[in-house]
Amino acid sequence: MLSYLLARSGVGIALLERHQDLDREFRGYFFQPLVLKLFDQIGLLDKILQIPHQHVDVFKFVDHGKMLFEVRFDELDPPYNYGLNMPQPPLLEFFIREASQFPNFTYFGGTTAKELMKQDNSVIGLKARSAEGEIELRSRLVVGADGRYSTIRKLADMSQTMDKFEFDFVWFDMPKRLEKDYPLQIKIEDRGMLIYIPKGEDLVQVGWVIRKKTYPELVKKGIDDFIRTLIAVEPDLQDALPQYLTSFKQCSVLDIQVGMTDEWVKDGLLLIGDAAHIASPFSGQGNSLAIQDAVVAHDAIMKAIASLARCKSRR
Amino acid sequence: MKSYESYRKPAVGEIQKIQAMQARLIAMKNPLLLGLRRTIAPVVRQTPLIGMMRDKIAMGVQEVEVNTSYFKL
Repeated sequence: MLSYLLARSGVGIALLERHQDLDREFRGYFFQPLVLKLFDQIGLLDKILQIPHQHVDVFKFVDHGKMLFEVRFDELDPPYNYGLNMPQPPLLEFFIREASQFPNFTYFGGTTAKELMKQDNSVIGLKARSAEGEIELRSRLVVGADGRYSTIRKLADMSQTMDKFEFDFVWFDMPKRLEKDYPLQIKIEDRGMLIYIPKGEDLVQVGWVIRKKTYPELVKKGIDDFIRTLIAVEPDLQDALPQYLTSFKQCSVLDIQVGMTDEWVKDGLLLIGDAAHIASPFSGQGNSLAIQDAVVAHDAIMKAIASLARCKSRR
Repeated sequence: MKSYESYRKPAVGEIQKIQAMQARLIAMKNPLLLGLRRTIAPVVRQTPLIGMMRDKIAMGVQEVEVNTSYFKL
């Protein structure tokens, strides 16, 4: 998003992506309604809505059978009155395609940052490696938008303060039953916390919150015990779950981390998104925060470029 | 528009307050505390904190606009 905004503003951009393609598992599918407004402001909302997606009208928090609260996106002012459930790979591909229309944008797929180039205390570019060999990119600004395990953050030796959040998230995808509605929902019972996240037309992601590092204990008790626990919290799973979930091989564990870098700006360097602040998955905020970062950073960078130009013209 | 520095920390701090409350809810295992929580749940649902949590999730923690005046195309 930031690459696109800057490229459209005439700034020379080199976007590095570590993987050769973007078609890998991303967990964050949900975008808050405010993101619709931002996409609309840049004139791309209609095109983005052509990517397969679902509207999310409500986000429910159910506590022991009673509604703790429900977030009614459909009660917000139209037209931005729904959340968006959309897989990230096609959205990222879309932004790269759009940015590639600008001659000042270059995309480097399969290219890994290896070293920050520094002069005095400023970052002046980076060295990276691809299948073709090493490249050196000199740049007035390096932006680390490379996720919770950010390579750029590590190369810049910027520390993180992690909050105590002693939980992991076990999840698996399950086919939707045609007759059943699967709202975005968090359900809390004495035995635990179950999360439904609709995922495309046919699937729902089911999440189960466990104490940190206790997944091996869960596996040791066996898949049948896990299924019984889930059904105790969500009786609606009674029919489909025993047939569908047959092995822990169908499950993944998300190491839930919540934290923030102690600094996210140095001369010549900026961290955004999860590289700067990791949100837990429970409020569906991570994607939206990252996009808001890009919007704020775009304005700040353009102001800095204008200020630099004014200084040069005065000399 | 505020500077990047002044924007981020309060906004992310709001999210972390919400998440801290969620963490406390999840962590509660003691049967006495669980019973107490169920008893006071109707009151809790009416508290401003719950309303704040709902609003932040619905509308986000900050108002941000794209500055399209920089666009060349």
